[in-house]
Amino acid sequence: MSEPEPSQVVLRAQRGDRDAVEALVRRYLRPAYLVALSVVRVPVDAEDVAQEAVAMAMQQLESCREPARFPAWLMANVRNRALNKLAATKVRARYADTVLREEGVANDSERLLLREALLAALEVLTPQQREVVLLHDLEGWTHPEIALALGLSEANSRQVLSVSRRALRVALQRTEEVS
Amino acid sequence: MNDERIDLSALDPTWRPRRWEALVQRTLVAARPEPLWLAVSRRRSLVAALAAVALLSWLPAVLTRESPVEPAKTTDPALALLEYSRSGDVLAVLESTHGR
Repeated sequence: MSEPEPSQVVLRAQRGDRDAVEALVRRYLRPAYLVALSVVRVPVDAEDVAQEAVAMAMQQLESCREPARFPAWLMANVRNRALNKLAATKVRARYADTVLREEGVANDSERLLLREALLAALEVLTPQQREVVLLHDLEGWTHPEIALALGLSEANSRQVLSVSRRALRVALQRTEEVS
Repeated sequence: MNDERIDLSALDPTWRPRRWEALVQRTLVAARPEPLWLAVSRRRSLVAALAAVALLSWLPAVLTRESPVEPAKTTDPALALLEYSRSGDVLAVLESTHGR
């Protein structure tokens, strides 16, 4: 059975269907996390932002007037909240803090090191480049989906992805050489 | 080659499924519609403004209202008799209650 159209799910959720709300949360929490991570660059902060933004969006779903544009509406909310969070926690010992605040991560240090290397490499990109590369290469969104959610043209999305990958590869190579 | 996907799986937040599911559950709980009292308290400024308008529209009516004058009690037979002894008028109430 194919997945229902997002706009249909949004309409059902707007009518108070709790199953539809849960479907939206499960479908969009991870992309929301990735967009938040693109801005705040701290995984635990990105979790907080994604949770708050998605929950708030579900409570204010009636203000999403175009259900077909729900991803763009949600991601704009996530980005705004992430920027507020970033402004509030501007000065922070980011990486050590991140690890300390996550429970049970000590026994997966190799993965953590890789994650920190990726986060450091992502620093060379702009927030929008990070959003595109994370949504495409990690979330598996297509260019039309990214274009709709981020307010870009499809051609622009492709171009941003290509430039971002090139810059990211260079940054990762440098990290490898240093280590 | 920039057409190849970069392996970013180390950034995948769902790599620890239990932690991720806990986040999903927290989000679902927080996504529940807010109770009415909370919705009202969130709109405190609106409620305060409406209360101020209501008060301002009600206050002049209260201030300019004449205080009602209690009509003289004439149903008490002793008072009626006293009044009669003073003025000599037969009060209506005496006529209605005792004049039959």
